[in-house]
Amino acid sequence: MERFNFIFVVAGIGFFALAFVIMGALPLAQYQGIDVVTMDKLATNIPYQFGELARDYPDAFEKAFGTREPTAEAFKDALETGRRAYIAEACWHCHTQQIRRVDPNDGTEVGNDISRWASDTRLESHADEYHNAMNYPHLFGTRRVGPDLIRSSGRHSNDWHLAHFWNPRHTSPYSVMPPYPWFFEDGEGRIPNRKGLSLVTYMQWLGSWHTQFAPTKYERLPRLPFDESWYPPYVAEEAPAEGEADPYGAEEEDPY
Amino acid sequence: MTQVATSLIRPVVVTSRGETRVLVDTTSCLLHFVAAVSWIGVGIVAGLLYSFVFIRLYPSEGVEWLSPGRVRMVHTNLMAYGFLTNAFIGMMHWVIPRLTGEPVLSHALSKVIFVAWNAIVAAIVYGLLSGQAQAIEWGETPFWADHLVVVGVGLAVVNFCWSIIRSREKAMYVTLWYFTAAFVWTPLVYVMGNYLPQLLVPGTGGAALVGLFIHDLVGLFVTPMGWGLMYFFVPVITRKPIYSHAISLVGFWGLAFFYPLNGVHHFLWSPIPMFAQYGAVISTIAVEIVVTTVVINFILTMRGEWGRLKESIALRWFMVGMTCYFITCLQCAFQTTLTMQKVIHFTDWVVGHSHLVMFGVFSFWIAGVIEHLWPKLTGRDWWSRRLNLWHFWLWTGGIALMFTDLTVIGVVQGLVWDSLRPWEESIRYSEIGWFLRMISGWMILVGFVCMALNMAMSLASRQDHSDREYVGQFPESAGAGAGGRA
Repeated sequence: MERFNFIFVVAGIGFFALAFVIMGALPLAQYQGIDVVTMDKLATNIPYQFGELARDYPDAFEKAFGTREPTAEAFKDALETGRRAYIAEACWHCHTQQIRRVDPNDGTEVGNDISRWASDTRLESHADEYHNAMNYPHLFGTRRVGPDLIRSSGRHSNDWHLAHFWNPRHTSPYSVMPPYPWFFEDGEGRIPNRKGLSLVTYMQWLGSWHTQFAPTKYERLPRLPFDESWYPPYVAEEAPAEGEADPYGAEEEDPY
Repeated sequence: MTQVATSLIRPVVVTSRGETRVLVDTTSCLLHFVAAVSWIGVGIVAGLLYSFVFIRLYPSEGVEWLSPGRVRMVHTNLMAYGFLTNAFIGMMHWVIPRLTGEPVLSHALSKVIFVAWNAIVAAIVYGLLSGQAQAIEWGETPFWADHLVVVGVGLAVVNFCWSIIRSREKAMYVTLWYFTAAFVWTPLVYVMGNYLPQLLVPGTGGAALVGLFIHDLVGLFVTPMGWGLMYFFVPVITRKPIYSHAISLVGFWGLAFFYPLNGVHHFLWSPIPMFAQYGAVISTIAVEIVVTTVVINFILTMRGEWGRLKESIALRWFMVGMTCYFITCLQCAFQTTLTMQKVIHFTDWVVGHSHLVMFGVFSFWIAGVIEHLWPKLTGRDWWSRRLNLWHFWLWTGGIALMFTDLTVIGVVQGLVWDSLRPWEESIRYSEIGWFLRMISGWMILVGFVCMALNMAMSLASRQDHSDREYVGQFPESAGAGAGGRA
C-alpha cells in the first residue's frame, strides 16, 4: 500500500474510474438512446419575439444576421451567438438555469423554486429540457444573485431586456448587475448590435419549449378540481373563478 | 521509518551512484514561488475589484475588458492555475527529490515547464478578459487553452514521477502517496471535466461530469498537494515524526476512495438522477470522518509542541489552515444534506465555504511554506518579522470576517427567497454583508502587500540567513533516531 505502482494503479486509476462509472457513466446511461435535439430541430420553434426584433430593428438585424427576415438560419446564428455572449460575460455565475424540485407547495416544505419560476404545464426542470445542441456544456449555474432564467421566455418584452442590458437599474432599481453598453451599436442604448440582438433571442428562447414537449407524468394525471392551496398566495388571487375557462387548458400540437 | 525522517532533511547536493549531483533544483523552486506570489497579487486585486460590483461602486463600469463577470473568472482561475499550481510545483521541487533521493527528470525541463506554464496562465487571463471563456466552473479557461494546460500538466507529471520511480527508498513517505495519486488524478480530472461536457455529453449528463470536475479539482488535485506538504513540513519544523503511520494510511486511502465520489453534490435537487445525488451526499459525509482522522493525527503530532506557535509563524499558518480545513469539512457534512441544500444552495453561504477552503486552508499552507522556505531559497533572513506577523493576522482576520459574514448573509438570502418575498429584498438585506466582504478583501490585499514587500526587502537585504541546514552543510544523520510509530 505504500508502493508507487500500487498507489498509481489502485488509488489513482482504480478509484477514479470507479467514481467515474458510478457518478458519471451511470447517470449518462439514463439518457442512452435518446437523440440529442439538433439546432435544426430547435429552429423549427422560433419564438415570436425573434420576429419582433427583425421588425423593430431591421437595419441592425440585417447587419447582424445578413437578412431582414427572421429565418431559421438567422435564428440558429442568433442562438449560438447569444449563448456565447452569455458564457463570455459569465451571466451563468449569477443566474441559474434550473428549477429545483423544492417548494412548500410540492411536499418538500422548504424552498421557492417552483413557486417562483415553474409554469403550470411544467414544474421542476427535467433532463429533456437540456438534452439539446444548446447545452454543450449545460449552464445550470451554482449561484443566484439574480433570478433563475430557464423559463424566461416571454416573461419580459424585448424592450425590457434591452433596457435591462443597457442599465439594469432602469428596470430593477436595486439590482447589482453591471451594465453592458457593448451590446449596443450607438452610445445611447437605442440600437442593439449583433451581441445584444442575439442575447435577447437567447433569453426569449429559454423556456419557449415548455408547452411543446411531451406532457410530463404530472400532466398526464386526470385534471383534479382546482385546489387554491396549491398555489402561492399571489398566484391564487389571479386564479380563474369557477366556471371560467381554464387559460392553460389549450394544448398545442407536439412537434417532437 | 527512520530513513524517512532522515530523508526529510536531505541536502541539496548529494553523492549517489558514484557521482555528485544537484538533488534539489532551488532555482525552479524560487521561480515558481515568485510567480505564485505575483499571480495571487493579481488574483486578489481581481477579487476585490469584483466585490465592488455588489455595493454598486464598480470603478470601471461599462468597460468591456474589465466587466465584473470576466474579472470574476480571472479571480478564480488565477487562484487555481496561477497561484496554487505554481506554488505546488515550486514546493514539489523542494520536497520530492529530498524524499526520493533522486533529482527530477531534467532541471532544464523544469525551466521549460516554468516558462510554459506561466505563459499559459497569461494566455488564460487574456482569453477570459477578451470574452472567450468556457462555461465550466473552475475551468473557464478558453477551450483552446485547455489543450495547452493538458500538455503542461503532463510534462510536470513526467518530470516529477521520474524522481519517484527511480527512488531506491524501500517505502514511500506519506507525502509521496498523496503526490503520486494527484499525478494520476489531475490530468484525468482535467480532461474529463473540460472535454467530455464540451464535445460529447450535453445537458444533465454533462452536468454530472462538471460536478465531478468542480469537486475533483479541489479534492483530487489541491487537497492531496496540500496534505502532502503538511506531512512534510510539519515534522520538519517540529523535529518530530508524524504521530501514527496507521492513521496516515486510513486518511490517505479514505480520501482516495471517497473524494472522487463527491462531485454531484454541487447539483443537488437538479435533474441529475437521484441515486447519484444520494450517493454523493453519503460519500461527502464519509469524507468528513476521514478528514477527522487526519486532523487528529496532526494534533497528536503537535502534542507538547504547541509552544512553538509562538516562535514559528510558518507553524501558525499550518495549524490555522488545518483548523479552517476541519471547519470546512465539518460544515460540508451538514450543508451537503438535501434538507440544508433547499435553503443554502445558490446563496453566499457557498461562496464563504469555497473561500474558507481555497484561501483559509490551501493559501494559508502555502503562506506557511513561503514563510519557511524563503530564507532558505534566497539565503537571506526575513527583513521584518513584524511584517510577517501583520501578514498572518490580516489574512486570518480577513478570512474570519469573510467566512462568518458570507455564511450569515447566505442564510438570510435563503430564508428571504424561501418566504417568497420579492427577489430584490434578498439583495437589499445582503448589502451590509457585501460591504463587509469588501472590507475583508481589503484586509487580504494589505496582508498580501506585507508579504510581497517583506519578500522583496529580504532579497535586497544583505543579512545572510544563519540557518543553513537545508542548503548542504547539514549532516545526514541528524534526523536519525526520530522514528515514527508504525
